[in-house]
Amino acid sequence: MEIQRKIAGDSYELLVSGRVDGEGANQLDEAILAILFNKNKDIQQEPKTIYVNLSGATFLCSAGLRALMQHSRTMKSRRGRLLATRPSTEATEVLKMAGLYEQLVERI
Amino acid sequence: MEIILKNKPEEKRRLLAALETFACAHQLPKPVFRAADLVLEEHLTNVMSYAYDDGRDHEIRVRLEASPSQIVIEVEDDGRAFDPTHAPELDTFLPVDQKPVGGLGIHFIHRCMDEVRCQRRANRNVLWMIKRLPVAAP
Repeated sequence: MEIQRKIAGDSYELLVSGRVDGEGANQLDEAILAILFNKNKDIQQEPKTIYVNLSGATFLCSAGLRALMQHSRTMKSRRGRLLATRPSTEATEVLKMAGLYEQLVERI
Repeated sequence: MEIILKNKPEEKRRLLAALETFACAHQLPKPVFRAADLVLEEHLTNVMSYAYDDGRDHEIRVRLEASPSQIVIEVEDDGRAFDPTHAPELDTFLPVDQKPVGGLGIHFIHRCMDEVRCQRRANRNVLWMIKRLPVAAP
């Protein structure tokens, strides 16, 4: 799995491609934590919104959803938002089964 | 098809390769492949994470069988007794803030499969996950 990061002011986008399985979920978790806690010392502005673009996710499991849910709560407590965007067919199926599609996916 | 895995997360890659071969050989529809991929990931993650506490290597046996009407996925482990068919039902209507972070994997197994059965025999857990195949048009 690969994650690319794009920054526009206080908006951060993570473009996820490949399998978000157990190992991929750990990577995603680390990538979000790096933004939330400025782990790489490269965050200029406090994140207001984190977008996780799932258009390239070929697989998504509950571990990946856990990372999204937990950090969505963290962002909410900071008066920000974490949203999933453009989920692939595979990611959409799983988000809907978990009852998270309506709550986490941004309508574009 | 049968594959024996060690209780190490990286072993799931070998299983995925075997599942792809199995799906190709039996011309499984994509949604069926996706369902099988997901339930194996979820169940094996649970087994590898929670079934063992002795720090030793264990073998997990996975069998895949296909007939014209269904596929049967059988997973056998020698971990502590656990029956996912008795897990409490998840309330998927709760808002994100109140959703429990555990239990989603088992929820997916029940949602993706048509039948799930479990048996404890000779100190081993055996789980059968059955997915009916769509009937081909005449």
